[in-house]
Amino acid sequence: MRTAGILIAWSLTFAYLTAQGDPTPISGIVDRENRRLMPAASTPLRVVQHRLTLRPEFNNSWRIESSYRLHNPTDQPVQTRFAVPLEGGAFYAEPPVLLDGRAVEWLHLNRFHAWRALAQALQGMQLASNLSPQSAALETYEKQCAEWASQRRFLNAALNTLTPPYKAFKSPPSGWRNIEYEWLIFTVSVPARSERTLTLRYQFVTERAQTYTDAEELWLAPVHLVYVRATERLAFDAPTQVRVILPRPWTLRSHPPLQARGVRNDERVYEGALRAAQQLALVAGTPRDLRKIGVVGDALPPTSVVDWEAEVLNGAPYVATEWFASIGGAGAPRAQLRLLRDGAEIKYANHTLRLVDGSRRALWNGNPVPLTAPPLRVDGRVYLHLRDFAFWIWQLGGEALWGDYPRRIEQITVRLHPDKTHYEVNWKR
Amino acid sequence: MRVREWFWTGGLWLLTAAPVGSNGESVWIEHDPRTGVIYPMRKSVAEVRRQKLVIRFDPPFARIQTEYVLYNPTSRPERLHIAFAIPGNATLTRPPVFFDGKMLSWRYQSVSEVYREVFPVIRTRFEQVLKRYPLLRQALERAYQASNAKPYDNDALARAQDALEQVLKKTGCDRFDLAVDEWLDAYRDYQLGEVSSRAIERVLIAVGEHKVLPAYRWNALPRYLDPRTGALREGWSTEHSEEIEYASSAYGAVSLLHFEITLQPRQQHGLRVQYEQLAGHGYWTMDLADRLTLSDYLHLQENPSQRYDLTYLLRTQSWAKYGAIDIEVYIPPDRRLRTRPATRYVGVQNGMRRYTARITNPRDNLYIVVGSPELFRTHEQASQGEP
Repeated sequence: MRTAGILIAWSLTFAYLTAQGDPTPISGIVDRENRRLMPAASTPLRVVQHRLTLRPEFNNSWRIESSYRLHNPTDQPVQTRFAVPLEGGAFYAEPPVLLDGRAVEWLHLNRFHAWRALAQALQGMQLASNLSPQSAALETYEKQCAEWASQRRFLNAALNTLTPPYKAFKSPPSGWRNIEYEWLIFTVSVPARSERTLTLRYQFVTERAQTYTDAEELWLAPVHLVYVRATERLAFDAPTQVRVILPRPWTLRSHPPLQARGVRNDERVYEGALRAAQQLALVAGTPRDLRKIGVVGDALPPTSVVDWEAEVLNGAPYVATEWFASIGGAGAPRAQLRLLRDGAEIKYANHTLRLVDGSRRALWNGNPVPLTAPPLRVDGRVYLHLRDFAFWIWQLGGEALWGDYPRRIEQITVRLHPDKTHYEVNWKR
Repeated sequence: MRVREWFWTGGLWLLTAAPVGSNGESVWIEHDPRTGVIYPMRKSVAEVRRQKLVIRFDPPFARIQTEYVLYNPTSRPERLHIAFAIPGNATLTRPPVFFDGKMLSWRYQSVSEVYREVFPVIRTRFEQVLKRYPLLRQALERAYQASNAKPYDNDALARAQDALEQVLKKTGCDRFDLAVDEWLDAYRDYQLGEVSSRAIERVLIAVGEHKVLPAYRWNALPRYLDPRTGALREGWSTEHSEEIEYASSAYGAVSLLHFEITLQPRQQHGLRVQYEQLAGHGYWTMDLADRLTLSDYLHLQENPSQRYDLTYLLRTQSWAKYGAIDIEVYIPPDRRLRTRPATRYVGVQNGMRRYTARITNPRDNLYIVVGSPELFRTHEQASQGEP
């Protein structure tokens, strides 16, 4: 018995993002003593109301508007400097900081300037041997960014699981490998026993791992966002009222879940309250995009590559039968897929596989054969359970792609990888 | 449909429209796919009495600050909507606009947003080009369908691309010197109605239909200075490896900083605009998502042979009068520069080399190239070991 293999290319596209969050009170840009950026401070200001509106914009960006009602319970005016962590940076299309509707002075500290501030602070300090202030600053910056970023979890929409950033997807894009923060910094004054409304507005442009030629995948692939509540240093007396507004064709998965409020002005609205949870993990995209999950196969001839992707339907992995049409070509006969009213028919050479929607029984050259699960029809496509798909693509494709390569299989196993990032298919023969 | 907002493109590098002139002007915004007109200019009654432009190179960034003294000579208030045009994307690290010392509200359109706004016009113009070549259109459609086939069929796509290449020859479109992929990318954007590449722009430039492009309207076509000769060269970076780094910040795209000001009758006002920009360094993308990492920045900063190009759009035609423009450029002490119009080295100030110039009635933009001293040596000087 031997195991041969095929690697099914990871073909999902995601717009990758990024965790953003609430402002944190800081005492300065650099804590020279402890070699830290944005040293946290405390403030007596309390958040008595917080509204958060998130909206994906064109070009894969999220527009964030966060409005805080700040209350100063003391008898003294309070002036607090805040830093908003912006993973990967942000884009400002309008004044980003308003206090009671008026623009406030602000500073955006990009990663280069943050590094320089650290390096300047480290000048003249006793550093580890052979380490220049510049190198020490780089090391400190990277370490701190990794520390902040490690706290967030991404939502795997297809499986509804939260995973750490490096496990969220099989092939994290470069943007995730270089997790770098920038900051929006400003100072707010609130008179004694008064309230002020602080509004923050900014946009994040997400990254994509790949560019596709297809419109759907290029522009409508899922967009992720993690919003981190800064409850450690800024006391929230009220839950955060969250509203997410999506283009109508899109849908949302979130953790904790938000309620769909219907369609307004051709946009889909979701609302909810963020209480104890310190993170809001979102993923938005077309329903089909949100179902996709990667497949890695292990066991077919190494020269053959089939580009599949599974979709999670009814909690199980399914593959669209249209992928059967990729069998053959280049001198070999081409497989033909015909979608029927009640199922699908795949023909290859002298063989015919007939699938019937909802039936656990298929016909192989007219003879009944069992399936792991009944085929499903969704959005006009006919889907096969991943295990059935793997079996039949081997059965049909073995002849088409691998010639006289032994096609008899003893066992096919399908399992969700422990990281919950993709399914694995194994063939034994 | 004509949107009659009027815009003013203000100074500095503000506005600009190419064919007619240079520094700052008022414009109408139109979105009329029939005429293709996007930002026609409009004359203002206001005067720019003087302008000061300070550019500080802090590789890999350039910090730009410009101050205007504006005057309304009439007896009525003059409200202006200014669109300050910037070649490439700006980095806003501080409030960007102050009027009489007070922060102003503003709206910033990135390069991709500007492009997206004018895309209907560009798309229509591309459609007109396709109408001239029906055979080409058919071949593009077939190749487009093949590229979108599910599952992907590489053989079918290759056949469709071969057929497209034949049609390009047959219709004489191969004279435009565009690769098959560029035609296909342009057709894809056209079909999707979305801006995923700038291929349509490249096609329109190649076929001579470039007047609808924002870069043309704003005189932000890709140009750069040859550091050795000072000659102004046109085009994107070329295929020659030596010239790859010549990609300028004026790579043929503009972003717009919008704001409104009101000039009181017979009064003088101060306007300040400030922003940062990643100076042109041979890497460019329209997409803000393609940010450089800190390591990228450090590599640029530490690489002494790295050159930086910057273009500042100067336009004065739409103002009633335009006074002198005082330019100051600061660069690190180990770098040198060449500018057009020329600036004069006046010594070191606060550790930076300082260059100044006074410009009146500018006919073109301000082009700057900064790099190590070796960058500016001619081959003869280099071979003779001259500094």
